[in-house]
Amino acid sequence: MRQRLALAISALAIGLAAAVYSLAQDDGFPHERHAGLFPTCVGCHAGVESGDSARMVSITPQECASCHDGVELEAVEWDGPTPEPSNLQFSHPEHISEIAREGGEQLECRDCHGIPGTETRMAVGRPMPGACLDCHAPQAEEHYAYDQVRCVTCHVPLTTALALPVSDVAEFPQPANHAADDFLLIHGADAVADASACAVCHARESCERCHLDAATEPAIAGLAADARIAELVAGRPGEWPEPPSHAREDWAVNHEGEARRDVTVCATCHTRESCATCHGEGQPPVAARLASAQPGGPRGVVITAAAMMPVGHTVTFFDRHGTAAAIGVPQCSACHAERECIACHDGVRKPSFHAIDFVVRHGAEAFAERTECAACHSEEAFCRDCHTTLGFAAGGRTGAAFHDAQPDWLLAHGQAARQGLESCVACHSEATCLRCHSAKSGFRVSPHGPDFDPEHVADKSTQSCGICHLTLPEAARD
Amino acid sequence: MILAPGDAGAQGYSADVSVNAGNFELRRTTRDSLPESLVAGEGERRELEDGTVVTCIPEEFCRWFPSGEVETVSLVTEDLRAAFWPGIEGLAAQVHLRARYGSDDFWPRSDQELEALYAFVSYEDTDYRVRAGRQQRTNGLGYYNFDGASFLWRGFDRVRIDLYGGWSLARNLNAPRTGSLLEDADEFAPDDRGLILGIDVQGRIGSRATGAFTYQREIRSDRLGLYTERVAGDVGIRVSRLSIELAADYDVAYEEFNEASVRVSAPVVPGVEAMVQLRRYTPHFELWTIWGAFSPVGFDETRGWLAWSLMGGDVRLEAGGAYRAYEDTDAGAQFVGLEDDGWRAFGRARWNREGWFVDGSYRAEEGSGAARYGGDLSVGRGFGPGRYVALRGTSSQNFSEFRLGEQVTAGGGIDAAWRVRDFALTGGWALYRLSYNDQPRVSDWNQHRGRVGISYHFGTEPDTPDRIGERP
Repeated sequence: MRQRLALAISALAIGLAAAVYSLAQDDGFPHERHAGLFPTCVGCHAGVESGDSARMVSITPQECASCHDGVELEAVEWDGPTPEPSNLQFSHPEHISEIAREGGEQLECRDCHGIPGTETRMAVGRPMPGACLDCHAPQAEEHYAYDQVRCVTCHVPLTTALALPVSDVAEFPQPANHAADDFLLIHGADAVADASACAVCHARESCERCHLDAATEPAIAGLAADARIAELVAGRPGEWPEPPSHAREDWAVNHEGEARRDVTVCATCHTRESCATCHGEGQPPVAARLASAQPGGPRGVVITAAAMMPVGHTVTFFDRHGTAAAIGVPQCSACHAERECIACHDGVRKPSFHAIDFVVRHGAEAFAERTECAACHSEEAFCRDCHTTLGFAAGGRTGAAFHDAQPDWLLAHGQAARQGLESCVACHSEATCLRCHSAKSGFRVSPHGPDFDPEHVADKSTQSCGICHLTLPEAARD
Repeated sequence: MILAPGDAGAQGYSADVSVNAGNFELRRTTRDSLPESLVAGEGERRELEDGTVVTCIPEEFCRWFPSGEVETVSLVTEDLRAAFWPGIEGLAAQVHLRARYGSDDFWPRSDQELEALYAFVSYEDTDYRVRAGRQQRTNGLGYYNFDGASFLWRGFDRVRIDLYGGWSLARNLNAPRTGSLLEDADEFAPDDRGLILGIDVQGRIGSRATGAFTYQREIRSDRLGLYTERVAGDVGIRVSRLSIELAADYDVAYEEFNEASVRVSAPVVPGVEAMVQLRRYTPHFELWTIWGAFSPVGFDETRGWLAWSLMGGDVRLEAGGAYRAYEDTDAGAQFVGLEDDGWRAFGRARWNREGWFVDGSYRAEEGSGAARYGGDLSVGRGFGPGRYVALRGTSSQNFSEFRLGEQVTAGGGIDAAWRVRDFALTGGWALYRLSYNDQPRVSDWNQHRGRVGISYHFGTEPDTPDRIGERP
């Protein structure tokens, strides 16, 4: 059963192929049946030698009727071939003379018009592209091998093939290389090298669909406009595949170098609005070299800020971004416009890092360490300086000005210090504590906790050891 | 200080100049005392006739801390941020200079006339970047800057590596550790300028995770020891709708995690987001100080947060809270009864439509050292990017566990920002009523605070050709 089905399918395929082939060869005149009647081709195709296209078929219906008179032979209705619109360019006399000039073997009509696989003199038809390629691109593997065949050898630019209807243009076959995944990314080099090849099938509107810089790109500006192409591309959105460079991990934050190096590359797909997604109104100067999106024109690549989020901007980073922003890290402004900040800090959440009344409320936040104050502020030179000026940091063994609510402060301060030592440092200098907690003087109370590992710390630095112990590190460990 | 836009030849530049001025009133805390013999009662803690609590030193004096006179202080800061492109492909320079002027030297560092927050030259190529000069470094360890060089390699597919090194600067000071800033603040300030070496690695792990790692070491230039040795890392993973964030920074010298957290967030249902975080925090101290040897303890904290957007996002409600518990300190007398845990809770509601907004929030916070309860209310109107006017009100109670009395603050003000092309103007004014309970000799008063700022952006690129793609 399966074999019979395969046979049936094979037969159907062969039949279809034969039908297609025969249709391709059919020019409306049964040449083979007239093989004995016409001794030469030019008897009916007088224009072949002269190049006169009007006389390319020189036999007339009246001459046919002289035999097909309805008596001797069946009458036929044949009005001669109907001219078909084409973008082909071919000259019989030129081919003949060119070959003669080069001393080549004289061409016979059958060399191009003969139906492959036949021997009969009049088994002819319209030549297939392979016939042209045999001489003009013998290395070509197929007709549409774009990189092996020069289209313009046989075809005129589309904009000069005015007779071609838009339906024919719409059905132009696609060269093999156009199907490559990266064709859109790499076609530019070929277009710049030989725009005439593109012009066989394309007009300026073909490029303007995607190229935002079509007006200033020479390879595109050099193409003529064509109403048929305009009709075909109308309403079709542009295509902007992502170049390999954009897949780089740090592309979002480190593309300015490439942009400055050759912004024309960016201009193909991006308008200034692309940059504004991240750069906002504070765009770098290079962005100003891009055009704005044109009303009704292609919009170019639309970038969403989320798509450009660089590595490292994890949710954790969101927690600490305020610190980075508050210190004015230059990289922030490379991607972020102020209006992005305003989206959250829009006056609702205060425009600055700290609220205007932060001074009166910062105590609780500092003790709770919701954020690390020391990430921005030096405890010694900033916090302590201010607290001293305000009178909070009275200091001294008996000058615990801040702790007047705690009568047993001396007994309590150890726990408080270990829980919130950063807050202590915001008022007290080291000397304050060393009056009691030094190994060389005072009450010699050890400040070290049970887990303190002096040897490990001394391995890293003995500077602070020496402050209290006044001995060399080795001795201190003893 | 001011750079006027002018002909820069073949160079390009972009700059922002801003001037910000603040002015407000304050009252310093002063100290007063009486001979101990004139204060009735016994013991260290006594009360004066008006109820003022005083601390007495036997046979010497009893002291208390009234407020001083109202003073007005002001501060002006000028900032210049600029980038220059000398016309050589890939070469650029960036600088951020700041000048401060303050009244009566009240503001920390206001007597320092000019400093460079960063000033470096960089060269960029496709695969790498080199910078030399004063640079800022913000990574998992916080914020550091240094005078030196950095080399960023981004030629690998999924990883970027940034090496940096040079003369280290005191954290958050933009100045050497051996400078006068620390010398004036600390008797045992370092006597040797340090060197910093570090590496930042960032990368993607598969398609759903990102990670960052930092190792940084600051050593004395005489090689006698370290100032710091720290490691930080964070990983973000996206699993379905869950975002999982792991982050930690570790002090190698004290073998202590300064911060470690696990955070999970996800949209629960459309319009509702939730987050839970477990966090450990221990303060970090550099090795030149004695503070690390005092064995500070950390706390473990659990945080939760929930947000609900409704009415198409016009209304947003948020609520959250956290609880933290400190490690055992092995110090102090247990009977004194200091807090060894803390909590906070907050709620917020916001309405925003067609530029108008109303925002109200309330926060309660208690813990070791301080407590605060208070709310804020803002009503305003936005007029597009960089333009808004807002009225604000606030009321709060602030307590300190270690200080007598409580402070009550109530007041409000107005602030606004307005941008016109390259100019931006900001300003604000507020009046607060500061009241004190349980402190008879500290009188209530009104505090004025104001600020104004202006910034201007300018930049040219004279070699810019006609815009590409513009239709003729």
